[in-house]
Amino acid sequence: MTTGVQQRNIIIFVIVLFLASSIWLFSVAEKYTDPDYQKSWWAVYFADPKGGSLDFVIENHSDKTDFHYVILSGNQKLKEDSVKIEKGSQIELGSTQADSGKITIQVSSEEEKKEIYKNL
Amino acid sequence: MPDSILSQILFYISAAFVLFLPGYFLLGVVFKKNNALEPLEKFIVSFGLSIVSVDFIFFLYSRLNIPITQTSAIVGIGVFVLICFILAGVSRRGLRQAAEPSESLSGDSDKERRSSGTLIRMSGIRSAGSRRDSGVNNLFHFSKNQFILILLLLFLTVFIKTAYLSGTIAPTATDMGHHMYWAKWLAQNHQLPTYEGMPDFIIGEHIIFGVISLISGADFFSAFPAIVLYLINILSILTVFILVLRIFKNKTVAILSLFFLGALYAVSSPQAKFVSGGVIGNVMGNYFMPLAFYFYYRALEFLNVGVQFIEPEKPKGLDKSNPYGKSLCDSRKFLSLAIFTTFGLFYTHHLTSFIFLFVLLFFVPFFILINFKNIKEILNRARPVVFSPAVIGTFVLGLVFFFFIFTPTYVNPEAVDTAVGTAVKSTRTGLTLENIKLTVGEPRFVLGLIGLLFLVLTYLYPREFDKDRKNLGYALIVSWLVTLFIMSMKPNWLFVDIPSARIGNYLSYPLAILSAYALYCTFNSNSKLFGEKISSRVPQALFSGALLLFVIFSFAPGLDDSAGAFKTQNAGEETVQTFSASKYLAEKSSVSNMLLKDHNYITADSWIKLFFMREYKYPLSRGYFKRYEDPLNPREMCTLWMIGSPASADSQKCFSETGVNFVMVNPRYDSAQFQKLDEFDEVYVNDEINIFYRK
Repeated sequence: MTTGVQQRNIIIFVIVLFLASSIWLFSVAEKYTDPDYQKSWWAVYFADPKGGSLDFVIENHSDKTDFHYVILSGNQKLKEDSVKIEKGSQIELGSTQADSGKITIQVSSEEEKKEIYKNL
Repeated sequence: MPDSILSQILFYISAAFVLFLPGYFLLGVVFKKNNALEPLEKFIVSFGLSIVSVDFIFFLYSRLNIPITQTSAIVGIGVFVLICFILAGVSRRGLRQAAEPSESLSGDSDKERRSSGTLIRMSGIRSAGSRRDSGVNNLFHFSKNQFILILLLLFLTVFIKTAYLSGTIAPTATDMGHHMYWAKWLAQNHQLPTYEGMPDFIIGEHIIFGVISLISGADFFSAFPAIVLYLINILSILTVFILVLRIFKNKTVAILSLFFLGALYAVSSPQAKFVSGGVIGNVMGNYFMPLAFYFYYRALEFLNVGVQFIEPEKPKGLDKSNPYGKSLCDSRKFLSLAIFTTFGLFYTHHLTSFIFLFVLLFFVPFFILINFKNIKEILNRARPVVFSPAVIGTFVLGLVFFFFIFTPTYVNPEAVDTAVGTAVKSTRTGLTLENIKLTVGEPRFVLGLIGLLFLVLTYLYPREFDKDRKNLGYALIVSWLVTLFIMSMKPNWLFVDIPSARIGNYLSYPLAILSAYALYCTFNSNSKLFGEKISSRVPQALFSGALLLFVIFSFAPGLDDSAGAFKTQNAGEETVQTFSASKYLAEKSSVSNMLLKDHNYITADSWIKLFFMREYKYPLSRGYFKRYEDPLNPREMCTLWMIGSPASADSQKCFSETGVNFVMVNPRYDSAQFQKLDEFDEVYVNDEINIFYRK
C-alpha cells in the first residue's frame, strides 16, 4: 500500500467511524428527549397560571390511560369525573366556576395522585 | 424521508461546509500544489483553520453590521471558499507558466518538480513533505502492522468514547446549557453576542454552533452540540499524533501517543467527560494548542542545529526553484498559519491562551539557553522567516481584528485581575503530585515523568542518548509539560490565580506524549544503555516480559478508569419533565414575569433559559449551597432565601426587589414551604417539577 493510499484509508476510516458513532449518538439523544420513549410520567397544570380560570390540563406520557379528577373548594367537592387519555396525549378540562377560597384540583391514576391549586 | 434523517443529513453537510471546507481551501491557497503537508495532515489541520476562518468571517460581519442569517452565513463562507479556490487556481497556473522554460531546459517532469518538498534535512531524514519520501523513510508510510495498529487504536478510542457518550449525550450538562444559550442567541438575533459584559464567555466558543444551527436548522436540544465537540476532541488527538510524528520523526512514538491519549483514559477529563459536559473552551483549546504548536514547529523546524541549512549564495527572494527560497517560503507559510491559529485560540478560550503564552514564555528562553552557542546562527536563520510580509501581515491583521474589529470580552482589566495575582483560595494554591496522578492517571503520570527524565538526560549525556538534544520540538514538549506542572503545582510562582484543577487537566496531553516516548525509549531494542544496546545487555525473555508488564500496567487502569465513568442511562425521564415544565412556562409567562429555579435538585436546569431566551441570567437560579457560604466570594442571598424560606421577612423583601413571581422547584425537596403559604398557587406539577405562582 502506498503512502497516499494508506493516509487516504486512515482518513476514510476516521470519517466512517465518526459517522457511525455520531449517527448512533443522534438516535440515542432523540430517544432520550422523546417524552414518551421508555418513559412513564404525567403532569397536571392550569391552562392559565396567572388568571382566575380553573381550566386545567392533564398531559399523559405514561402507560396509564384512566385518570380521575376531583375539584374541591376548600373541603367541598365541586366536581368529579374520569377521563381516558392515551399515552402522548393531553386533555384540557374546565368549565368550573368559583369566586373565592382555595380551589384544588386532585388528579389520580391508579395509585398515583397529583394536585394543583389556586387561592382565589 | 423521516425528519430526523433529513435533519442529520443537513447537519453533516453543514458541518463539512463550516468546519472543513474553509480550512481545506485556505490550505490550497497557502500551499498550492506544494507537498509540505501530507494528506492526513491536511485533513486534520483543515478543521482548525476552518473554525478560525469562520470566526474571522463573522467578526467582519459584526463590524460591517451584516446580519448573520442562514443565507448570509452560507454566502459568507461560500464566498470565502470560492475566493480561495480561485486564488489557488490562479497561483497554480502562474507556477506552471513560470516553470515551463526551466522545465524544457532541465527536462524535469512537472510531476518530479512538484514532488520536491521542503528541502530541510535532519539527521539524514528527509522532510516528510517530499513525495520522494513515499518509500520506507517517509514519516507517513506505515508498515502493515503499524497501519493496523493505528486503525485499531482509532477504533478503540472512538468505541470507548461513543459508549460513554451514549449515556451522557442528551442535553443535560450545565456548561453546555450555558454555552448553547449564547449559540442560540446568535442564531436568533442574527448577530454576535456581547455577553452582557461577562468575561466568562468567549465568542469563538459559540460561533460554529450558532452558524451550524442556522444553516442546518439543527435543534440545540439534539445531540449536535456534543457531536461537534466530540469531533473536535478526536481531532485534538489526531493533531497530537501528527505533532509527535513531526517532532520525534518516529512512527512508534506517534502510535504510542495515540494509545496514551486516545485509547487510554478516553473518558476522563479532558476527554469524553468534557465533551458531554460541554466544556467547550477546554475541548477546543486542547485542539488549538497542539495545532498551533504543530504549525510553529513546522515553521521553525529548520532552527534545529542538526538541520543542514542550505545557504544560498545569493538569496533569490521566494524563487521556488531555489531550495533556500522553497524552505524559507514554507516556513513563512507555516509561521503565518501558526499566528492565525494562535489568534483563533485567543478568540476561543482564555485559559488555554493563558497557558499557551506561559508555555511560549518558558520555551523561548529555554531553547535559547540550550542552543546558546549557536544563537547567532539561529537568529540569522529566523530573521528572514519572522520578518517577512506574510508573517508580519498575518500578525498585524490579527491584532487589528483583536483590538479594532472584535475584541474578546475577557480583554479588560477586571478579567485579567481575576486570573493574575497571588492565589489565596485553597482550590487555586496548587495541586499535589497525588492530585496530578489522579487527574492524568497513574501510568501516564509515571511514564510521562520517565519520558521527561529521558529528555533531560539527553541534555546531560548527549552521547548516551539522542544526539538531537537541542531539538526545537523536544524543547517545546519539555516546556509544555514543565510550564503546566509549575502552573498547576506552584501557581504563586507565576502569579496565576486560576483553579489549579482546571490547569491540571491540560497535563494529560504532554504527559501522554512523554509516556509514549518513555515506553519507546525503554523498550526499543536499539536504545543504548551505558554505551551498549539494551537488547545485548538484557535477556530477550526478560525484555519481552517487562514490556508486557508495562503494557498491562498502562492498559488496566486506563481502561478501568473509562469503565468506572460509565453512567447508567435513566432514559431521560427527569430531563423531559424539566423541559416540559419549562416549555409550559415559557408559553404562559410574559417578559414582565420573573422566574426563580433551583440548580441543586432540578435536572438539566441550565437548559431552561433556552426555552425563554430572555436574557442569560433569566431565570434566576438558586446555586449550590456551598457557594453562599464562600467567605472569599460573598454573593447575593435572595435566591437562597426565596426558595428555602419564602415566608421570611428577608425573602419577602427579595420577592419585591427581584419581582420573582414564578418559582420552579423539585417537589421532593422544596414544595412544602410554598404549599403552606396562601400567596402561592401551585400551577404545574409533574414528578420532577412543581411550579408556584406568587400573586
